[in-house]
Amino acid sequence: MPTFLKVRSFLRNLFSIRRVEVDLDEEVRSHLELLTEENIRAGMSPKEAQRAARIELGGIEQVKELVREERIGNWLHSVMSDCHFGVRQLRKNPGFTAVAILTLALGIGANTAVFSVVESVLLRPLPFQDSERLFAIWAKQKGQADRTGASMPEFEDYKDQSHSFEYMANMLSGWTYTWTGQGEARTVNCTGISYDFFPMLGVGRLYRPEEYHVDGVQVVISHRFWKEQLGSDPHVIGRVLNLDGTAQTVIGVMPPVSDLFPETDVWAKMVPDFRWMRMRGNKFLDLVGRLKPGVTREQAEQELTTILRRGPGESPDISVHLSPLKDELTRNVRSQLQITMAAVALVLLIACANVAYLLLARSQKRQSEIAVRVSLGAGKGRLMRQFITENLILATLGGTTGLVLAVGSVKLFDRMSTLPRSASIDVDVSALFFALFITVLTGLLVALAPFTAFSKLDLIARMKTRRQEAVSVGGSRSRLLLVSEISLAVVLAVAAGLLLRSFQQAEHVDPGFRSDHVLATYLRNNDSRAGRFFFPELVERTSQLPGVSAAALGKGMPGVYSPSATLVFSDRPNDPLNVPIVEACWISSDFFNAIGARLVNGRFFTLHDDANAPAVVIVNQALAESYWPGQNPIGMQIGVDYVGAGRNVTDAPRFREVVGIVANVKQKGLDLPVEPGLYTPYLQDETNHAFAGFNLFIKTVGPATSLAGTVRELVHSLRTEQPIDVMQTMNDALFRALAPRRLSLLLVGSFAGLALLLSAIGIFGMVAYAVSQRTHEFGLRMALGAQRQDVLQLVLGDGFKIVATGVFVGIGASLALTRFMRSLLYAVGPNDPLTFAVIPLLFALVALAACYMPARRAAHVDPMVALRYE
Amino acid sequence: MPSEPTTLLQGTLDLLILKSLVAGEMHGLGVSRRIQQITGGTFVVKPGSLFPALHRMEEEGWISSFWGESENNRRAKYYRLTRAGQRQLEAETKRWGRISLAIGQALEAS
Repeated sequence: MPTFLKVRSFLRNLFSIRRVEVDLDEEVRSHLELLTEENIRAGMSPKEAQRAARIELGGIEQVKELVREERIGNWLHSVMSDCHFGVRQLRKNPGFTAVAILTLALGIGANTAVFSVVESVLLRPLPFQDSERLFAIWAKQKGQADRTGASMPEFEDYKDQSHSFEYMANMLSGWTYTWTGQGEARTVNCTGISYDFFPMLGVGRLYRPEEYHVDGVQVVISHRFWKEQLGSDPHVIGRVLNLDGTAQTVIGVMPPVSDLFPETDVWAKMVPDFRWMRMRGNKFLDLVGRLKPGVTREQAEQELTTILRRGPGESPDISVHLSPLKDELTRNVRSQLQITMAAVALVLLIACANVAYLLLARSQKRQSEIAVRVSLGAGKGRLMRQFITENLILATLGGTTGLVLAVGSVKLFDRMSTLPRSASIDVDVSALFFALFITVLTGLLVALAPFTAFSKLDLIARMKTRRQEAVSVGGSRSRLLLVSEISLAVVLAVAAGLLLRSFQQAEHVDPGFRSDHVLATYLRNNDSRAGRFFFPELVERTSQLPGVSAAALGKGMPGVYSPSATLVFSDRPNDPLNVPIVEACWISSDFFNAIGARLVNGRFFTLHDDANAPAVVIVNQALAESYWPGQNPIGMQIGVDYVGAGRNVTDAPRFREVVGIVANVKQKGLDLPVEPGLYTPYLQDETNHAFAGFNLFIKTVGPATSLAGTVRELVHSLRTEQPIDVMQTMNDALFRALAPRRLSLLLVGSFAGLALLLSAIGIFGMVAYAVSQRTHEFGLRMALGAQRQDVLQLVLGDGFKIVATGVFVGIGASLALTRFMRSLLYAVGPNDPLTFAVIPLLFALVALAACYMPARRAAHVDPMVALRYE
Repeated sequence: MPSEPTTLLQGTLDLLILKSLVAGEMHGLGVSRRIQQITGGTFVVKPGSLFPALHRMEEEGWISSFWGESENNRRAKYYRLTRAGQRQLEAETKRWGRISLAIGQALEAS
């Protein structure tokens, strides 16, 4: 029974190892004695005989080690003894151990945390049936940057003629109901969906087909709305909600799919009855489809493109594109997250380099120990295994600490993030595997440095001398480690610097308006006809309130968002396939005074620019310069045609006379470039559609918030059922609008700070170690007449050479890499000279600080003491 | 570190040890000397190869060991062939015969 024997041997080797060892020792010794005896019999003197026997045996310990390596279960035994030994080593050097574990914990923790976020947001599949076959469908005109959605007739063409999809649904998000009859009137966010939407996601058929063709009466509500607004009412099915004045019965609650349109309260039906939906040019629907199995994305794109181009009046340059629905939901944060992941990976590399460097320095002290081990028969493999075990212990301790850090920071991050899909951010199994993976990788990486150092160890020289040589600490291997560490830190610092500069530009470049002392509230009014009476009265009464210096209405919010319109010119031919799209806001007369914009030419609107007056428009400088370069556009006639869901205009737009030019206002975002834009008086909206909702801007004399209560009362006294969704100071709105940029800056900035700190520790450690090893040499130099100054310069010079090389390499790498973060930059080039000048200076300063202390110590060496050292 | 061409001789060494133990139980040095003798001095097995092989073969169950007295009344560890060892020796012998025949043929071929 060989198997039985093997198991017995294995158990004996494991549990009775002492006896096995004694046995082995006796056997080898008896062999030696037998040999000696044999030699004596052959006529040698006893001394000679013993010597010859020893030579033939080749070393008792070596033979024993060879036998041990042949034993069954040897690996387990040696792993265990390696672990013991490793732990002992770590405990012997608590300072080193603490620094190494902390460094690794920061690196692994930060990576695990960021990976958790990336995995939850970008990688994890959507929680829907066959979600990998769900695609967003959109069209793009060749040569134009903006995508377009689809119109209802186009959607119907696709559905009738395409064979690529199992399901195709349209949806329209961002419209609202006013919910009354339940305390203060509230706005309810709707996402309209076509019938196939729920079956496509596999969440069941919440609407029945026959219900689908009737507007109103039934609604499906979101899980969140049910929980937060209806108090998880168990009898919610059948409950009647008064939405926009119509009684609607709740017939279903969506499962908790926070991934998709998290703000949605009501999943409403897109009943294709509205007139504006029948218009082919009204391309506002978002389309989503689930491909049939086996149909490729390219095939579907081709098919839909063909169908779209067949449509009446369609351009031959338009094409249809599909993008995975998951990517679509996270499109805006993708590059932000990727840059963060890259940044944090660099931090891990830097942490590894630092720990590897520490190990390398420590390995110098261990050379004698290693030499003894080798001479006692430890093979290269055995040594390598021991290093790896030791470092894996180190990495595991670091990784475990890091995991704790990661769980904590993900919770913190979750609270402050505005990321899509953020409800599902957590440290899950894949993040644990990731942590395990990088922990092992880190352990192996850092083991490499000391091992390669030892593999060239000169055994005899090591045994002979007790003097520890500093050669390899200042040597090429550790130089390389430090140089790469510094250059990685430089890359990170440059990235952070560029983000910081972008942020500064966004915050400090004149936005063209003044947000101080401005209170803003968004008033949705889904009844445009009522709005025509309500809004003019509201703005007039508000401006009469004490403490108000100006009150105005405006579509959009400067620095946050803007609606758009298309332009038609009277002074040049218009290309119907290439219509200019510009920012366009309906405003009341005092708008520019309320937000503090500056008139460049002509006039602002007055109360007289009403429905009966000639149609007028004010353009911004950017629009004037792009369409009338070098000319005065005052008096020109342009047609403004609204872009946006619900637009009802079919006829050619009314022409408006340009009466004023306003200085550029950063309308869509403080961190976005100014675009051509125009403003039209809200009383001149013949379609009534502007009256569906306005921002009310109130310029106050005192603090902006002091008027909030008064304004709220005023609104409700004029219209009891008017919901007040947001009331905030304009400064708060702007602060919130910059949140993603602030988050990027914070993340990359703190990673860069961490990298800088780690490199400083690395530089300090290297110089301090080199100085301690060269004390003797410095003493000699000083005894021979070198001044403190000279020693100081010598040490600083050495440190600086390494830093300079690192900075040089890092700047080169940054020049090549920063263009990948162009999408995150604002008003700053990826090769911004200021950043690229400041970062090397910063590193020089840090290096100086890190080198100075050890250098000073070197310079204050007492020559006599130093020469006696050894 | 002692460097023996053990890898080359791995199978051969096992075979030689088994063969030498056919003559009866003997201690490590005895095995070593016996191999030297039966190979006409071609193979000198050093302890660095011998002991790992003996211990491995014992764990395989081909040989067993016990402590005994040497001819000069010294305590020594003796090895003897087990039944499994005998079978292994037969198998190895056959295999070796095939190999040497094949190599011989290969070398004679022109």
